[in-house]
Amino acid sequence: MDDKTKERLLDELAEVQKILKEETGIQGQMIRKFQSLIANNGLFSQIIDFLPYPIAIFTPRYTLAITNKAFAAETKRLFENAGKEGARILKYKIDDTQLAVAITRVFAGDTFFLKNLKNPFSMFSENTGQSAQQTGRFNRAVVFPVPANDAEITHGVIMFMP
Amino acid sequence: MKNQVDDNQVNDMQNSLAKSFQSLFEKKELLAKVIECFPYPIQIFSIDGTARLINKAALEMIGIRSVESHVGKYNVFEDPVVQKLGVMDQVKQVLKGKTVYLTDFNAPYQDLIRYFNVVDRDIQMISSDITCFPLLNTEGEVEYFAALFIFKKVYQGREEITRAKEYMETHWLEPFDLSATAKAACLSKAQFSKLFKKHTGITPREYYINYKINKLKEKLLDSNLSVGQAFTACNMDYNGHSAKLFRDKVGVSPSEYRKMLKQNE
Repeated sequence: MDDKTKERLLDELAEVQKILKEETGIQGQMIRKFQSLIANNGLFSQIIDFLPYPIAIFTPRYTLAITNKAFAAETKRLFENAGKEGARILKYKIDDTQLAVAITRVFAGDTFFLKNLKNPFSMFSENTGQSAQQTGRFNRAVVFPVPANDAEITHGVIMFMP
Repeated sequence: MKNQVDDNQVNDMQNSLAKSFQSLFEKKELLAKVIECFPYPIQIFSIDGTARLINKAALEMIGIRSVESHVGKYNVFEDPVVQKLGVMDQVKQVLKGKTVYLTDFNAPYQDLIRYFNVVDRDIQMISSDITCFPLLNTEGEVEYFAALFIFKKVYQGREEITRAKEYMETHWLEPFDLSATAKAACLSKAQFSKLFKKHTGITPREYYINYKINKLKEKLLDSNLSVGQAFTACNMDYNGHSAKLFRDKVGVSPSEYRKMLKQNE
């Protein structure tokens, strides 16, 4: 075996070692992520669920992926037919410009802090039967993006505040 | 050949394992990401008050140096800032399963630095509304509790200073008014004077005088104006204290200054 061949083999070996190292690194990351999820088992969903402010997590197609108890209670309070329709955001129902912009731009990675919202919950229902008394309980909101590991925004989140 | 088969088997096993985990953790991972990306600080505590989990916003907005320096070490029931603000009993209501709303919780940042070794930043006070709520187990007992910090305002030294400078620069023709300037900075006179000196090295009055003298220098460049008229244009008295002030600050009299300018032309 001449020197050149030995050198080439060594290079290949180094390359294989590099690939193995990278793969081990990725596996390590996965294990750490799972460990963290297991360690905090249930805590993340509990935070969202027990938060006293309505939260809706939605996809770029505006379907609601996850909502919390406060959200369910508020929609039930506002709309008699809550839950009967498909769980999604009806963009055409948004008459508040700032909210309409936020719901769209969130998928470009922007975060919005909104004030003085009027009937923001109307975007979740065909029903417009909110009484004057019932409106305005949650007139502030924060809308923020949730990116996947590759930085693509997979979900938007809206949390309503009084 | 055997090695190839083994490799394929390992790959299949890994892929299958990954898929199972992925589906199992997909929802939890999304929720974990939501908490992590939340634009307000969130902290989870064990019922003894020890921090159990914090999100990215808590690190960045409160200035906590690292997860390790906080989780398992910080205890809200021993927090001197919470004690000082007299809301400890209210916070402890969360252990009884109640949601606690603390409005206008104003934490002086110097206290946070002193007690918790947070990052030393140019911040005077953090004002937030805090919502503490219980996390219940399947039996309905409080297992943990969480705190959501809805930041209302971060009082930064520099921001107050900028506002005060802006005020003085738009009111430089009027006599110096410490009360009005401090008011523009949204601070008390004593707080403002101390903060201004700390950040600029001079008193607000000195800043105002320096600004006014610079304006006078500009007017002295205008050869259509006499020295007296330049002073009048700056609402300053040529024959009084102002001329002496100019000499003290610039090192020469206003007439000499103008001569020097002409010589340099």
